[in-house]
Amino acid sequence: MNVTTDISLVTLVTNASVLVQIVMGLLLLVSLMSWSYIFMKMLTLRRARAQTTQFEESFWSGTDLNTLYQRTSANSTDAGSLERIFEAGFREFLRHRKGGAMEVTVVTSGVQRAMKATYQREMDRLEAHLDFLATVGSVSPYVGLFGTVWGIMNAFRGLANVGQATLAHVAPGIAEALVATAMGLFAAIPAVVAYNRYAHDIDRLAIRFESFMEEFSNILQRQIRPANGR
Amino acid sequence: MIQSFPAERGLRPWAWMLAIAVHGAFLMVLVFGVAWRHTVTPPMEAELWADLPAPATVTKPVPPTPLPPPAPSVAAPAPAPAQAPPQAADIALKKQQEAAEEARRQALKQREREVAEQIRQQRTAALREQEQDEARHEANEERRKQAAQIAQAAQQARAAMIDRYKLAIINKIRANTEVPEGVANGVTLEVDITVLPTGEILMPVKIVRPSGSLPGDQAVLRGIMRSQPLPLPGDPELRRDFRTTHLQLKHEK
Repeated sequence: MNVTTDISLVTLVTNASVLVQIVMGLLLLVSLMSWSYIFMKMLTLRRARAQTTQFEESFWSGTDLNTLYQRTSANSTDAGSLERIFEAGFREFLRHRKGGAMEVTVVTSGVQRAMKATYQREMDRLEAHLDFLATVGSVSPYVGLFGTVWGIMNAFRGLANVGQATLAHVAPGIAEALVATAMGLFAAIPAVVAYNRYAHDIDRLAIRFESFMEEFSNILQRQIRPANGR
Repeated sequence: MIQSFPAERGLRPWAWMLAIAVHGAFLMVLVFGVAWRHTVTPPMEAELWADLPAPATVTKPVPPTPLPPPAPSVAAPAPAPAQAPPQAADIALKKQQEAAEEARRQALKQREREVAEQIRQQRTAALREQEQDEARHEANEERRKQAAQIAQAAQQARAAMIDRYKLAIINKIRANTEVPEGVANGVTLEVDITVLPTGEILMPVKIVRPSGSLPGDQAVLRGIMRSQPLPLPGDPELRRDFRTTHLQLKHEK
């Protein structure tokens, strides 16, 4: 016959005290949410990168700016970030041209302001939910630790009622409590990794957008000259 | 203008499904990948028998008198439990076993001599009795008495066996008990144990008379639980007597 010491995962969770169970439930929810944001941001950023690359290619392939603008504004609901920036800048440029006044500095600064506004809006959308990942990464270990401390307190309080203290009295309680820390870490580690990764990805996208904005305003500036050229 | 972010559109359900999948996979790894049970194989045990157990001799002396065979209570003797226990394959143990075998053989011879003597006595007694009294009624009376005698002998042998196993049980419990410091030596704890045929103990162990030292008693109770399975005779007939076992356990270091 074999002697078995049986600590299963299920009993560890079900035997824990109510507060520890609440902490575990909270951590599970937070972990689920953070993972869903991780996947959502992963797919979003991948799509954004693909759209940016695609637009850059079609922009630098020498297409006429007017046709590009019309094509972009036709399906503006599906447009990528860079297309929106282009659209905002070119629209501002067209308005100036329609108004007749083609002062170079005025037009360029107007176009740049319009593109900057759209750029900021797009960046805000790309960065959405990243703060949640950062919060989870920094806070959930503490939440788990709180559950653990509470569980260990309970384990030791139970020990006070027993005349003869052995390790067997405390060990299950501590094991239960430590599950909370494990869950906190399980939620935190991927969140931190994903946050760092995505922040880096978004920075790279931002650099691409900014360089495009500079180059595009140069192109527009060159277009003003021949129009003004007397 | 507030528009849904095109790059994000339609991704939310996918993201949630993937998140749930990740958690499910992690849970599977935890449940099936980690051995939450760990088993300890107990050390092998061997019992050494220096002499032949008593019941083997009781079975043989079926009185050779012309009288019909005695009461059926003798007819079902306990088979020799000496063959069961030794199983360790150590060389040292083997030597010990050989010594034990030798001792056993000598004991057997001794017993046979005694039994022969006994038989002779019985035969002469029976003959004398037959001669003295021809009446059938009285002969029957005598036969009954003889049967009772043999039954008593069997009973005694049985009691000896039970004592032997009780001693083995107590020794095992003592080996598994760590009496804490400060417990008086030599005080006795009396318990009633309900033992299943497998040697496992049915809770709770009833304390008939505590020794007076609570930590000592608790240590002994832990030792009892740790001694499972208890050594029991191989014979189910004898084993039945261990269903409720009364033990006197002395606190000794």
